[in-house]
Amino acid sequence: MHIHQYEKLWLGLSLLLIVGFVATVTYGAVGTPAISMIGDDGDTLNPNAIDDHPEFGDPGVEKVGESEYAAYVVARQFMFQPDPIVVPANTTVTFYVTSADVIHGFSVVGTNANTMVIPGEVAELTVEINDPGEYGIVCHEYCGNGHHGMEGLLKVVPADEYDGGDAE
Amino acid sequence: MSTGSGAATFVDRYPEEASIVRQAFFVAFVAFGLGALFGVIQALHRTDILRFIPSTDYYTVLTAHGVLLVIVFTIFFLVGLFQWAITRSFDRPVEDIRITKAWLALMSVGSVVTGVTILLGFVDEVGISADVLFTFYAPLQAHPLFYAGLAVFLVGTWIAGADWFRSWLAWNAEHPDDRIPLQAFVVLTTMLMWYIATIGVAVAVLFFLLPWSLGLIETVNPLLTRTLFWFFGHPVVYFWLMPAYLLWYTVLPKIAGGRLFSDPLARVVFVLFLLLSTPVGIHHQYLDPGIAESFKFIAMTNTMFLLLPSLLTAFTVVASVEHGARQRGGTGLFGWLRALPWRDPAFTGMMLAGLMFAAGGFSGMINAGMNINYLVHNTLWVPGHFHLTVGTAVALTMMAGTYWLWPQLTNRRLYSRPIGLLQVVVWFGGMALMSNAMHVSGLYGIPRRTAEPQYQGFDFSTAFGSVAELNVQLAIGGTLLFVSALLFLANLAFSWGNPTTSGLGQTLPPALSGPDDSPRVLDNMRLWAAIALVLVALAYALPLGAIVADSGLFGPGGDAYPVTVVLNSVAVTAERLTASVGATLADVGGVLEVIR
Amino acid sequence: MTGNPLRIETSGGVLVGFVVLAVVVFELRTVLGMLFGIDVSGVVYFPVALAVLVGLLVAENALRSVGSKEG
Ligand code: HEM
Ligand SMILES: [Cu+2]
Ligand SMILES: [Cu+2]
Repeated sequence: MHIHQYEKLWLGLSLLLIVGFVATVTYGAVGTPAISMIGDDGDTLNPNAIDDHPEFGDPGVEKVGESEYAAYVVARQFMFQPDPIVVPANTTVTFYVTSADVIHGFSVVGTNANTMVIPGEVAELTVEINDPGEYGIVCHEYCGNGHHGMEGLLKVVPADEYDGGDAE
Repeated sequence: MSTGSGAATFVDRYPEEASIVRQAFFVAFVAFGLGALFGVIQALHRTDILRFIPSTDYYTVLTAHGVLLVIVFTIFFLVGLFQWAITRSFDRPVEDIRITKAWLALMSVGSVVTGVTILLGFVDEVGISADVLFTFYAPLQAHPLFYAGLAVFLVGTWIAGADWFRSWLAWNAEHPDDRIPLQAFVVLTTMLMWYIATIGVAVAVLFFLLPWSLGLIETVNPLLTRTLFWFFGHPVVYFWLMPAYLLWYTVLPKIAGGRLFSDPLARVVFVLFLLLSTPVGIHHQYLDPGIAESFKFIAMTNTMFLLLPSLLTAFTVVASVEHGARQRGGTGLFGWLRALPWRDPAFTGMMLAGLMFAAGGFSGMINAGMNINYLVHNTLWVPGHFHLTVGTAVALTMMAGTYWLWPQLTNRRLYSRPIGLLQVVVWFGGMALMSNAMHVSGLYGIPRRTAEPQYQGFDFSTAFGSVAELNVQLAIGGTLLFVSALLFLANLAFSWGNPTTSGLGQTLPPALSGPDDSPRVLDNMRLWAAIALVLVALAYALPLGAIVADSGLFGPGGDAYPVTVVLNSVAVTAERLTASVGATLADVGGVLEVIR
Repeated sequence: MTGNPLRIETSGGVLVGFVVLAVVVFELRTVLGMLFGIDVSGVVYFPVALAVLVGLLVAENALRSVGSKEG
């Protein structure tokens, strides 16, 4: 089979490009700790039994380490609980997000803290929180005819103003 | 200029097959027109430029837009084009026209049932709705007719594929030593890919969603049905693309004045698509909890390799067009560009579509990179991307291809070539505006699939310009696209009024380097199908196994969330439904009668 | 085909070329904004860009008619 000279060259360059992409993405995923990927670390649970769940029954933020916090968040038609989510600045926060009904999204606007929220699954994402400020949270997956109203707020407050626990 | 080579046309030689192709195109274009109307409504509504429907109806519009355009329009066009390609390239009539009519009828009935079920979402009194968008993620639940229509439609496409394989076998019996003609090769590999891909959605619909919507099973596993959807959801994008590739490989070089550069390389490309299209679907689920990172990683790597056949295509298509230009007397490093038939809407449409596909490929690479995906996932960036690919590379190529093919299916000239040229150029410009606005909005975090991306508690911050300005851009772009769609449909409709003419036939020249010196193994469909299945099993066995092991085939529990708003008594509902489906079917039947 | 099938130049090409150029010029502002962080006001950019494009089109047209008179 005859393959033209230029065609071979193009083929080689294409393969090089592809390998380059794979390498970049791999480096991005493994080599940079800025945000962990969503994986299968979270538990599974029955969405109808959320109210009895030890953590999701009363969702909120907990201190779990020196400067480490855990934020339990429930998404349901058409709100996030708690709202707002209040965390202290300059800490590491792990969000555990699950749904009480249908599939939702959870995205902190303007950042790459972003996950799908699937009933039965707990999404786990760890985020480095820096400066104080307010960030919008949107549900970015269609979840029913009130979807466009589904939003929340992440409040990052200076450590000394943080009163711990739920700010609902 | 549109005068053919004087040869007999497709309809002269195969009147029955030509009628099938016309009918398939007709359904495709009706869906396209409706879809475009819904598209412009979305573009004006979500940007808050003009709102004339309640926001809750937005999702009915969006479901209809998605289903009508990427299921009905693209796939009906595909079956029409493939029927033409099979008949033309084997140069033999269908084995049994009744079968051919049967699959077209099944596909049409399925589409009408699903389509009507969606549109009934506008009429609250009926109590039927399917506002689940074209991805129908459980546990949002549509009316059973939505899933049933889809199932019937799918069965129709399967029979269509079988019909074409049957033609191949019959042809092969008479030509045991010949290589499969290139167009037929594209059809056969594409349909093999389709059989593999539809396993996912068929299992999701037939074993889980349909029984669940009928109340036969209580729960489904939302992650499982979602994963099965994307098992189908990525290869389907290549299914949309293959008709465009068929036109780029076999028709575009001819319109450009030349011929395809290399036939063997084209075969390699289509085999690669068959092998690599399916084991990548998890790249749509990078952000899903419950799927391990390693599986996402495998999907990412496969996805990057799937770039290869498209990169090879870029080379071949440009080389073939350049060859055509030089045949027409073009010279110079870039000077040959001026020798191309830019006035021909078929040519210009396909070239502009290809150009946008390059841009779409670029934004696609960004989507495919796992970590960058976290920035753009489910933002408006994503529709920005696929309006370049399926919405332009595919849709515009289909329109351009229609300008070339339609006269050969009807023996009537196109109503106006200048309007055709204007139409493709307006599509290109409108899409540049809309898609640019979508990409940029996405980077600012504005979500897709929402009626009102204007929030109470915060504003989106912009790196340059303003959200208001992007909204205007998006709305202008969407309006131009709608106008372009109308121009296309009107041009075709008026063509019907032209008198019939003879001699509009076109022939397709063989490739510069033909198939004979390529390895015969390329034509071994069994082998490629087997390898493709193995690759799919490798990519999916473990993730699917893990999902089922974690929370069972039917999930950890949870209710169904029907999107139906008002519930009437079942009897009333059924009565109204049969009446409206019956009326629609009668309408469609009447029109098909005319177009035949 | 009416006319010469091997016609070297087509004015269709000029139209298409200009549309493509216009899109490139339009995207340039996005590139400036997203990649280089230069925020050019659309109210200034688009009228200027439009004027330049129209100017080019007029110039092209004039040159071509001169060319064809000579040729
Ligand atoms: C008149 C031309 C068109 C306009 C104005 C238009 C406009 C839009 C807009 C604004 C959206 C985003 C809606 C949202 O996420 O809230 C959208 C979504 C979409 N469009 Fe189009 N579009 C057009 C043509 C097409 C074509 C030709 C195709 C494919 C062949 C297509 C396929 C889709 C799909 C699949 C979606 C996503 C639906 C979903 O998220 O469920 N569109 N369109
Ligand atoms: Cu939502
Ligand atoms: Cu994909």
